[in-house]
Amino acid sequence: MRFLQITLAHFSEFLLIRSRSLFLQRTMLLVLLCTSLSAELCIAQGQMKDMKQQRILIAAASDVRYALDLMIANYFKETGQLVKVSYGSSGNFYQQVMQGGDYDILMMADEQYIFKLSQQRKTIDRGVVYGQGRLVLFIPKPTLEKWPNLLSSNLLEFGNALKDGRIRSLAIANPAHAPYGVAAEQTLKSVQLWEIALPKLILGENASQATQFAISGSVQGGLIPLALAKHSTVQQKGGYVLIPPSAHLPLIQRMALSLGASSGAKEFYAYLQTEKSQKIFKEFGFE
Amino acid sequence: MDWQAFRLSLFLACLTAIILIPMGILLAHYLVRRSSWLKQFLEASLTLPLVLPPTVLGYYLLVGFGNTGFLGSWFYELTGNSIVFSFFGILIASLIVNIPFAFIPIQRAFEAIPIELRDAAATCGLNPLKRLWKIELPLAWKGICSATVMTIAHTIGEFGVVLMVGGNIPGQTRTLSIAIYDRVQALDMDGAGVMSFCLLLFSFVTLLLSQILNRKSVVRGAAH
Repeated sequence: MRFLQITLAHFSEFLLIRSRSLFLQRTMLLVLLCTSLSAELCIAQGQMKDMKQQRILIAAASDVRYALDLMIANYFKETGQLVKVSYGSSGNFYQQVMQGGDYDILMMADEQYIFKLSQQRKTIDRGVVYGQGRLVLFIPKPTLEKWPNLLSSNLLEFGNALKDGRIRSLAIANPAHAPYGVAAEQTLKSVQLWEIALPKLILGENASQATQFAISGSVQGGLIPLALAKHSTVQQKGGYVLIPPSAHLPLIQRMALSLGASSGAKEFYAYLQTEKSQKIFKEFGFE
Repeated sequence: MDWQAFRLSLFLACLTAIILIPMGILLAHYLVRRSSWLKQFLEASLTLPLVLPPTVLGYYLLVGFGNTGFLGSWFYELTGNSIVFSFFGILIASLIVNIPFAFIPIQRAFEAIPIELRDAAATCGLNPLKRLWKIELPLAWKGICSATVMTIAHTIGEFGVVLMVGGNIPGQTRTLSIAIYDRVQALDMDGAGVMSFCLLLFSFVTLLLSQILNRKSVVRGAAH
């Protein structure tokens, strides 16, 4: 209680007393500078808030990054409406939404997450499928130049390379919360390579980070989404081969509107289902 | 260069400093030259965020302020907004993380003031508040400045707890350091490079400025 009194007294003293000392002038100057700066920034923030009715915020699985960026750019050209998007792993976004994360549209690489969210009444409905994701084996250029036959869809030579140590590390997304990580784990298990690969795995926070690891040149391979492997930067850094869909459970990509979605978000959600957008999804390898 | 993230970082840093520095001054002034178990306890808890891993703090913030947590659910009932994954959430996180940076330099500065000076001021008839305002604050000026600089610089550099509590939401919680992480994942190394260089420059200039500031006040002190 006494502490509170002193605090209050200090504070009022701080505000009320006028002194002609140099110190006061300096303080005032600093305070003025700080407040004007923050006021200006506050206004900017306020404007952001005013746009909340029109705010479109998407939580998207990181494999749709390049496809979605393209569609958002198209949408901006056509309507002038900005769309904000945060990319990450589906499992992570599921946790965020359950903890109170406030997104308008959710795009998940594993439809089970959408189903779970709709059960918890976090989404309007069970959403729509926008494609099926494919996993690829990516081998960076330096490794590929030495052993070009590593790229075969039956993973036979790749398995040998894992066993004899030519592949010292392999990048995959974290199977704990990234659907592509789960698919990578299932694929490795299907060819009895999981035990051998386990100590060599470099886990990315999401499929996008796994891709970044895979092209960094520090690992000798990666199991990454086709949709990211199709990007020009990735293609310059190495080669890839499709993993047969039978090697893992299908990666059905599903999106849904969240319960509090803005009207602008609903329009963009509809735009994502137009033929033009569907074509872009297909171009990026979503079947 | 992600200007939105830049603006957000700057706003967060200024707001953190504006809230924390006055509190740091009052707390440090209250605690200086007090010796009780309360002081030990308070000092330890105020310095704690310095050694605490950001993930530990992030975990407790998620548990406490998430919609299922005690404070989070209360706030949600009250306002209809959740604390985590919003600007307010990362503000709370950065306020907690920065307590030691706002507190320690100011406390050191107060401790460096000779006790005779305070006694002399007291015998001159200045009450404790006037002593603080006219004698101690001008003498502790250096420490207050460096606390402000460190708080701002550290907020702009904060990464782990902001990512955990804030997610990565453009315009709300995507600060500059998270924008760099995001750009690297997008394989946009050029974008990440520009922002990294800006932060490097900013950090260096801030430290340089605070050093120059300190030296000037030393010279002025010697001249008097």
